[in-house]
Amino acid sequence: MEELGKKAMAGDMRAASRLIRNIEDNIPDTHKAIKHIFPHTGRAHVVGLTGAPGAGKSTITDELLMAIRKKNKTVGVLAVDPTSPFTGGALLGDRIRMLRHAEDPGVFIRSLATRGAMGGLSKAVGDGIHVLDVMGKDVIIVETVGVGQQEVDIINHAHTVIVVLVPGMGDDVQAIKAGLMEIADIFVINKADRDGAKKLYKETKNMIGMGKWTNGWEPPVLMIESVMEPHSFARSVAELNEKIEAHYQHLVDKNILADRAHRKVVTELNDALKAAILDPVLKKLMQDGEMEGMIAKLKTKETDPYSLAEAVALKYMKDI
Amino acid sequence: MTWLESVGIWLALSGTGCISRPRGLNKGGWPLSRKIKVLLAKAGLDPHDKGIKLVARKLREIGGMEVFYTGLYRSVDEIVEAALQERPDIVGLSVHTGMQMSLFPELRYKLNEKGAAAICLIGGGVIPPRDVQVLKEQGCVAEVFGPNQSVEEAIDWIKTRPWLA
Repeated sequence: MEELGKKAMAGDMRAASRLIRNIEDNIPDTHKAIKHIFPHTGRAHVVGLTGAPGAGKSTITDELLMAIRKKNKTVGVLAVDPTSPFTGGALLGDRIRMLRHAEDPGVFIRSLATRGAMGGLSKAVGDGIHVLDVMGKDVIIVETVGVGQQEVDIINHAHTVIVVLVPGMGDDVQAIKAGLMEIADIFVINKADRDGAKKLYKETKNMIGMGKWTNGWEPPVLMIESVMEPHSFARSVAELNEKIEAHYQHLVDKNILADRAHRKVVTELNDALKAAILDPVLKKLMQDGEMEGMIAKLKTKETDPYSLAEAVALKYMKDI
Repeated sequence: MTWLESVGIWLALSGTGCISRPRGLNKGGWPLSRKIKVLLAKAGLDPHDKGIKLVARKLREIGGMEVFYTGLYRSVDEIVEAALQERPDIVGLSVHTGMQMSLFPELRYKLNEKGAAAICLIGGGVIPPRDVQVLKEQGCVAEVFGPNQSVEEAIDWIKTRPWLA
């Protein structure tokens, strides 16, 4: 496994691809490769793109790749799509919109399915970013699943968060609600040639005006019009790329990049702790068939989930 | 010697795909979250994507697999690149243009050449039985599913592959 990590660090695309697959599949010992690469991470600029389903995240990502490549930077993309809660299957379609970069060696695109993770991302995103980072990608774009109001996990991984809005999604109260509207570093109003775009622009601006921006960055609002007008679309996205770079520069200048890194390591530590503590216990419970016994007891209301969990905790954790 | 035969010999020497690989040894019920991944592709000027979309949907819905679809009008190189980046277990190529005798060998050859011999290649679409036989003999495809077969048959075939266990 360390071998895979080393190869990925040398920029071997196949090894990186294999490694991400192993992370996704939770293959034992994969963390050894992560241990190997972890000290070398933290170089890339991670950009998160989030927004409602069909808002245009993939299309903007595609054009953004063009803009970034024009500046001779290399890019990695992690595009997340939802897993079916019923069958566990997934149809990963973000790639379709980015195939014109298929033969560009400076672009690595990887689709991930959520596999039951909440929050708009896949569990593999955190480590996937590390892999792309040590591959030497300058910019890493993480595209979330189409989100609602609460799927904001992207802030734990990205330096710059872009929220893509489209006209016609609700009244002005939507704009001042908690959640998605709070996390943006840059707002994009996509499909701005449609009715209601100006209204949405005003509402978003109002919302921003009401907020307190303690670190000195007030989120800009960009209007991007129809992809059917390729030239103006490309211009708007190039402008978006300028803003992304400006935001990163801001983070560096004000020395607040560390805050973002803080959120990321806290999340990673939490996840790693859960995996190290919870997974072995769950595995044991399933092997012994204890899990089924507990489920049966719950169904007949013989006991409650909290008593069961306490009993399990007492059994396995000696010091608490 | 035809191009196809030379590819056949090359494949015979280099391995024909669908090799079981040393990953995911499920030791004692470790909670693996492994999924079967399938990349579905259309190549060249073939616009008939009704079938492949249906297959994509059923593999996801009934088979519980993670399915990538490349979209229409892809070159073989683009499909190979997508396969290398996404690392699927299986690549499925649908052909309705009579190009099967060049597309399948080319795709298999390029996958092997880029070190992805472990990725299994299957076919779909309108492919005459005699071509299927030749392609199989040359090791270009592992299996071909035609219009008279249900998607469920393909799902069963995929799920019963020993190298996916």
